[in-house]
Amino acid sequence: MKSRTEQVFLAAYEANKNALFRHILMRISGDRDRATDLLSDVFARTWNALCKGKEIENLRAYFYRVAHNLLVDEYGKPKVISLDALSEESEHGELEVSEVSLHSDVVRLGELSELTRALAKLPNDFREVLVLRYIDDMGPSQIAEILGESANTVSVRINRATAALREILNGVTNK
Amino acid sequence: METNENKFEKIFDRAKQVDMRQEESNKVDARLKAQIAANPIPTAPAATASIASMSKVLGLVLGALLVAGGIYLVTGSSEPVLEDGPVEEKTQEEIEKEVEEQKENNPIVATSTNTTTPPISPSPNATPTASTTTATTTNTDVTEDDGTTVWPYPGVYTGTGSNPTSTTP
Repeated sequence: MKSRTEQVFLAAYEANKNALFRHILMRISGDRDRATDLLSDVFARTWNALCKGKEIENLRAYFYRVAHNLLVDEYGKPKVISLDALSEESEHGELEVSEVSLHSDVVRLGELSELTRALAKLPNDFREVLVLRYIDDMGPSQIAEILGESANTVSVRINRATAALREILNGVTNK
Repeated sequence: METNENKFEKIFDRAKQVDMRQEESNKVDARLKAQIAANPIPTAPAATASIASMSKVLGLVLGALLVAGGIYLVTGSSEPVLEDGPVEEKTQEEIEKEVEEQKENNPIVATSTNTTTPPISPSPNATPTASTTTATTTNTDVTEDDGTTVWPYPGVYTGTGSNPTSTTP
């Protein structure tokens, strides 16, 4: 017989696994196998936390928090780049090469959509808030809870990231 | 012509439609199932839970009693403790009798002190000094053998009754 905690966990797992897979996939530029592995890790870590007696009020937010930590562990802490610096580099056709090529070994260009390629050109912290905002449909306060930052900081970052993404997409369109 | 805004929204809408493939979903399911089987959540027995809740209640009651005792000790009654038993209640007559006895044993001595400042001396060299007058009256009536009371000035007046006899030449 399943305990109450297990039932709640399994319901949250079923409700969120597709969205979390999508989130991770967009963050790592479309490597589906790696996304599947990371997704399994997210649920395994959450389950282990519950086994140790941790009380989790919002399982969805906790899943995203674990995913955020796993991605930071794997790809390093997001580097904050100012919009001015980004625009300047973009004008000269010199976008942060290290950010773009960070996952180049796992990127399969044939599978990537236009969005995935555009996101890959953005710094990791911009990509993160854009995926959370426009793909996971979270508000600034929910994103702030996951990232452990203030809602105001997150709002500013979303605006800058959106402007940067538009610029990249327009550049692609105009070419 | 498609605007940039529409393009922006459309591109995210397409991304939202990306789902796990069946084999990917099966893989994650299997891993999680194995994880749960290997590491189940420990469940507390019902008896343990009830004992724990009873202990909590008992602890609360004891805590409340201790707090109440502490408050009593700190802010308790300010009445003095009677070490020699209860105070005797006295009647009005007894109280008056005691007062009379105290009067006889301890005669009242009234003392008054008057301090006056003398007027300024007309002499410029004179130094004004304060004078102090002390009047003392002692209630020391003298009682004769026959029970009558006389004034304590034998050279001035003696006698009883309504016809005093002057001894002054």
